[in-house]
Amino acid sequence: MASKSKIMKKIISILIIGVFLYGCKKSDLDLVNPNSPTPTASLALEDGILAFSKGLYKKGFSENFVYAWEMHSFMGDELYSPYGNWGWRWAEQVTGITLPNGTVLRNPIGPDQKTQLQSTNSRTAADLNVFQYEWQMMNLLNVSTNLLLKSIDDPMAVFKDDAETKKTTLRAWAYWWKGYAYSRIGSIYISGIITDASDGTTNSDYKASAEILAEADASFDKCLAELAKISPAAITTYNSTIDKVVPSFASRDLRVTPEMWVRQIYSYKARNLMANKKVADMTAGDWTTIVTLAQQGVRQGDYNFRIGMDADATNDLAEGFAHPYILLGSGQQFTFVSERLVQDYAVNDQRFVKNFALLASPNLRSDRGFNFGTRYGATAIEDGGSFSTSDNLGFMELGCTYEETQLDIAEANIRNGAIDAGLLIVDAIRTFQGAGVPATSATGKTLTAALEILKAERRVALFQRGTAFYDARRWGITAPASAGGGRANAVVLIPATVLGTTNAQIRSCFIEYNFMDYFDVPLNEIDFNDPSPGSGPVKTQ
Amino acid sequence: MLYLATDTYAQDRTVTGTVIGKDDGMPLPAVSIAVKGTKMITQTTANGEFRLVVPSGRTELIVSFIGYTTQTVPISSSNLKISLAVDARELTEVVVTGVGTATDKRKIGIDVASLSSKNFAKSVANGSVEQMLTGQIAGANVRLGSGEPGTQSSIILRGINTIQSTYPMILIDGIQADNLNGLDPTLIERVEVVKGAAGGMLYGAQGANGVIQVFTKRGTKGTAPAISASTKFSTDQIIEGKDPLTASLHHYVTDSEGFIVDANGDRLVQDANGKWTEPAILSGVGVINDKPYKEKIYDHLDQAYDVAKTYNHTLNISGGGEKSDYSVNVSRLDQGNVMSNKLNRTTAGLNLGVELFKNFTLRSTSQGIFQYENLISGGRFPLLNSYQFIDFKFRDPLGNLVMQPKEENQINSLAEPDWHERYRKSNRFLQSINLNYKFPKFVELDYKIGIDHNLTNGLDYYKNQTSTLQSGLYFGSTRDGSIQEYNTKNTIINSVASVFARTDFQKDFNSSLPITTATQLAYDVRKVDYRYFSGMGTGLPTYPPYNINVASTKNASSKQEEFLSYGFLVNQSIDYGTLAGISVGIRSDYSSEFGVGGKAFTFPRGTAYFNPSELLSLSWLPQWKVRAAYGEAGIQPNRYARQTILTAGSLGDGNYVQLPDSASNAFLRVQKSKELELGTDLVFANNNKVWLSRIAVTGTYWKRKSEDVIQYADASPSTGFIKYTDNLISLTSKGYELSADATMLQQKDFTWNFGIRFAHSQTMVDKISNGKEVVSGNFALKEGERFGIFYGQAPLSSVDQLKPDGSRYIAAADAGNYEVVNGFVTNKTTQQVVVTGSDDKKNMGDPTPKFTMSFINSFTLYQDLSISFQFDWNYGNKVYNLTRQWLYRDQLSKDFDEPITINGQTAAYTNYYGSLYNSTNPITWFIESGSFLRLRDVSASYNLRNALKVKWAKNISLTLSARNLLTFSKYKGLDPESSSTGTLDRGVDNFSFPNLKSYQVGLNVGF
Repeated sequence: MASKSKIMKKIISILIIGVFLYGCKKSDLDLVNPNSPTPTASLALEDGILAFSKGLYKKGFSENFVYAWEMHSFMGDELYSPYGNWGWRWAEQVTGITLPNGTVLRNPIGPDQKTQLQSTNSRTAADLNVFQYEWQMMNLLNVSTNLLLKSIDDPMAVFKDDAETKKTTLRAWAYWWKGYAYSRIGSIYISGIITDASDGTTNSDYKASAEILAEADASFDKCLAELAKISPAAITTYNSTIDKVVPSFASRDLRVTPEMWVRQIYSYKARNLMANKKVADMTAGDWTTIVTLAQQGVRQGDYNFRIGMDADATNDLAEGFAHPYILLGSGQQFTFVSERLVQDYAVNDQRFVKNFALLASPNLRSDRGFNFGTRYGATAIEDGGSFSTSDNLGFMELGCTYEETQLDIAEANIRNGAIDAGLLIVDAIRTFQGAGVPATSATGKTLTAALEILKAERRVALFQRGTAFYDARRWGITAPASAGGGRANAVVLIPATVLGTTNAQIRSCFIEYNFMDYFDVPLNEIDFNDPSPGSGPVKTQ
Repeated sequence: MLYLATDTYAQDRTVTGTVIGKDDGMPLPAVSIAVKGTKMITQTTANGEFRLVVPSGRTELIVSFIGYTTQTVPISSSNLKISLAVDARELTEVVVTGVGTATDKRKIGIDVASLSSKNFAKSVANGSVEQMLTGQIAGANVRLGSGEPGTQSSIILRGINTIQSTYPMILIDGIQADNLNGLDPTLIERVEVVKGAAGGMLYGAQGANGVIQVFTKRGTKGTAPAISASTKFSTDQIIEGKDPLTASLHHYVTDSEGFIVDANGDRLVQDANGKWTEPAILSGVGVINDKPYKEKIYDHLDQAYDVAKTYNHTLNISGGGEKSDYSVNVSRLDQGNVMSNKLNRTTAGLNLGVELFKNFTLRSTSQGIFQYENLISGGRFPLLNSYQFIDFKFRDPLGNLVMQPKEENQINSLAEPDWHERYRKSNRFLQSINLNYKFPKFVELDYKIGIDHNLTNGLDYYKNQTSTLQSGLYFGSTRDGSIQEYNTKNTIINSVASVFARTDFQKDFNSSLPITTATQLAYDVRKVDYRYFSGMGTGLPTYPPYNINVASTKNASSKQEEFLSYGFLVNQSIDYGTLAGISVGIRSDYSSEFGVGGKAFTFPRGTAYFNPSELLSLSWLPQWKVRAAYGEAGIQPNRYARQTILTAGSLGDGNYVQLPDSASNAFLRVQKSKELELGTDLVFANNNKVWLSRIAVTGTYWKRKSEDVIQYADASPSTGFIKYTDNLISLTSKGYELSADATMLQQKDFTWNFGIRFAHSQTMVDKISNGKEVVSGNFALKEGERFGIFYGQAPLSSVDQLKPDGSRYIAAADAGNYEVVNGFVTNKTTQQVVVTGSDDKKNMGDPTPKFTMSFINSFTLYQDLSISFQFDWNYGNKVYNLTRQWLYRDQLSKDFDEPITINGQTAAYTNYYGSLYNSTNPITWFIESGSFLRLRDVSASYNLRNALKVKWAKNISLTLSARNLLTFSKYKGLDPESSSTGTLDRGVDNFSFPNLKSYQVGLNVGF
């Protein structure tokens, strides 16, 4: 047996070993998050900046953007959703529907849309606050473009090969999305924030809608200036750069060339001008500007910035749900086609035949709103239609399209008195989309009749392309009836119980929408960023 | 302390025996049996048995056990049966947790609750230690929110302390483990719970949620193997309230024969695949829910939930050699699920102690826990929120269950197992090594190291569903199926090196003062290493094999997290006999969450106690202690919360990075809890009386300040972030706890023990640093309000009620159109209730009970039959019945059958109820009392050994028991206890998986 001191040594050495085995130095504490890149490491390299540029899609156009996009469709009455998710069914709650016999069906919730939406403008209203969605996504997108611009021009940033073209392309990318973000904010909010910061700070100098749109225009001009720098010799670098920042599901194979991009910006400038001025206020000069812009705008065959879906719903923005076409699909059934859109199709319009079919039984949720009823469902793309899917097919057009640009010119023509010139364009668009209906030009249409055709065509041709509410607003349809707003001869599916019939029936009604022109700034912003003196309005009075 | 006699005499004889508790007739393990007048000593085994060689001439044994009266027993036979009575003078335990070293309960200044395994509820057949603690410890709120096998209970010790997890630190024999999941209760000797920061401080910057320590069973040196086997069988079924959830009548448009029609006026039809046309919804003024169904209707809960069967088998072997002891455990659980599929678990463990040489012991504790589950529990939502004429067991012409039975994106949960397979296997290994050396005097060295290593492997496989006839919906992310396999590895290493120095002035320094001192120095290291890897293939072919290789899209993801903290602990205690004592200590911890530049966070503590009973010497008050303790402890931020990152992932065929939605905060600090607790422990004795011979009472008042509580703060989106992590909130909690245990009746053949556990706690939000309320779903944190309140709108109670801006809700001119119906302002014409605006929300109630109370009774008859039952009472808590609110959406709730009187007319107006739906936004109407009194456990055990006169076994007991057998509650949902258990999301009944009631039969055999 060992002596006592030997035992003692053993014991003590065991304890010392124990302490040393798990003894720690202060430097051991330096555990860095191994899962995520840091701004300093990733944004100093070309690949990191490219990945960040692609990340703008994620930042700006994931689900909350789609929920906001859908609200435009609802308020423009091309779709409806009887569901309260994201506050939808309150955003589209019309004030009243007048039946042919004069009976007025008030909306079941009581107040008008403005009162209702303002009452839910709070953080405690959570998902119900409809003002928050577009504000959030477009502001986050704007700040991300700021960080992108800062990173591109950081002298420490390392670009390989044709660095200048790459930087130019990415600057154009940043300015385009910045202009896009300001365009959307200025076109739906009463005021916005202009900021070039990317460090988590902001300012409280709220600028009225018109100033935000001016900033959008300025950003678009900066984008144009960058695009102008791309010489034919640099096109290969441009192509490879743009291919790296557009996700595969976002129509990358249909690459937007610098020329198409320039035209897209002109079309968008036309949209911003048109969308934000009531037709009643448009001057001849305004219409001339529209024509000038649109003539430089998107051409037939141009490609657009679009968002599609991965066939397997993998690594895309929609994740099998958040895409307008999925929401309208027979699986999710979150949205339904409006009877008012259906009525805007011309008789025997093949686009209707191809895209819509009678439901087994109508969807009718007049308990939630008398405008929530339809006889029709959208035929899925996988079944030969164009506007809905249960299989992740189809594209959401983020920018302006050829049809929109042409119809801008058509409207300018008609309103300037060149009725047949305008209708000729309408006919051309109908042919382009395969409507198969008789020509309208040179048939002696009055101005009123021509405008009706044009309006119907814009609604039909631009279905789910983000313009329905802008159009309804500028045409005065969403204004209060007392101010000349509303839609007469609107087709509404009225429940049997209201009519005293055995089944629900179609009636030609007057709909008073009475929607806000511009949303209030959400309190999600204002709660932590009080408007400074001299700020633009943050609430519609 | 413990050694066997080495010198034996020629005329030695062997004496065996059994020691049981007089109070309950249960065998007592680890009782010291000494031969009077010698140094010979042994201990009883887990079955209470002993075997001792007694020299000739010795005629008496001294039988002693802490907490029981020491007895001198004559050796009257070679097989003794000894029953020990509880010592009324003593508090019954020696505890370790929160005091660093094993200490007599009389000498500690904090409240340490302990629960011996023999008091575990017998009705827990699924082997959940958490459920065995339910209701047993005052101030420990252990709640199971779901009956799905494997669900972890929510544990809150003394109120809310943080917005992160409230789950306490778990120690197994002094070493940190991740959780209590899967730990086999049969290997547990006892559990100790330290609820507050004063004890938690010993465990440093992670101990603020309190500590639950589990002590595993050990064998006994020098004893023959004792074998104990048990088997349990249980049937489980869901708990339902006394009323159905859905209405028996409807209000749809019907034809002349009373059949429901659609908006076209056509009778509802079901297509070949089982999808129904939509009923024309009657809505508006005067619609009454009074039509009987002509259609066949179905009880959807009945269609969904079966009776499940659970089997649990365990085997224990323990004993010891001359210098060693061992205890081996094996168990197997097969638990059925009421919805489908199962969970099974095998555990194996070994606790081995060896005295390597004198005073130097090595102990190794090992546990392997192997768990498999393939649960698919589906959603309760689409089953309940569905037309009652839908048959969820309808099969299409291909034999598949209907997936989309109506025109909505609600999929039939019951069809899921046909298309979805999944499993999760976990292999958990817990290993700890303890080296301990006690010097003859003064100093003890102790080193512990433990590893909790958990490997899980999971599969999630959605079949290709393109072959179904049903076109609308499918399970999984895509119709053509997907397969995901993932692995996680979580390793926690805890190393604690301690030096204890003790002095006893009388023994060591020949002083007359009965002063003892204990000094503890410890160096404690904790490391956590977590890895996750997942591979997924989407788009599977219609032909086998189905694996990631053949999928059309493949992606993988991974995550890893590491954590390190280390620190020093110094604790000094000085006791004056058992009369009084104080201890003070500090602990200082570094943590990787604060990086190399971070400073150590230092937490002080101090405790004091005084035993007036030592001075009073009253026979009826053998024990009275008053105690006070103060301690600080911390809670770590979430991993890497202070580090600025971009988030990254895959987008299409490439990668992306972006700004995170939540900004990180480089200035984050550890959350701190500062707690004061004051308490007293009393024992009243009524010596040698049959009734109420002993009452032990423990009462504690505590008050805690939680500072720098970490929470996401909302941010203005124009900053580029929608929230950021911050030390946002200060909380104050206080409460009191009371435990009382009484020997109500003690007779030769009948004993009745009664215990009460009572606790009250309340947490207030003191301050939110940005001054803005924190909003989260149904909940809000507001300065000056209680933590976790439900927050929402309310029906107007007065026609003249004003909005926050002072204007009227109802114009004075219109007031005549309204009346108050059942307390709610209702429009006489439209029958609709008027509700406050969403900018006018109020505190709707608190999910925290005003108090929780348990009543535990146990009876022993003729020492062979024992009966026990436990009632748990939750009082004054509110449940937000979101399930009921969703049933209002489709106007299906049972409430729609109830007539109300509006404008003089009595009928079940749908407009009245429909106006309260409020689009599932929180509204007071769906706040319900969550109070309940539940017969948690009732069990009867009978030892058949005497009746059957068997010799081959020492114990054959048959147990019949039931869990959650009866519930008394006014709650309108299935079960008030079955609601959400998050920290800031508590008490919402949101279609969660129901809780279960179950019946067991068990057999326990000991050899």
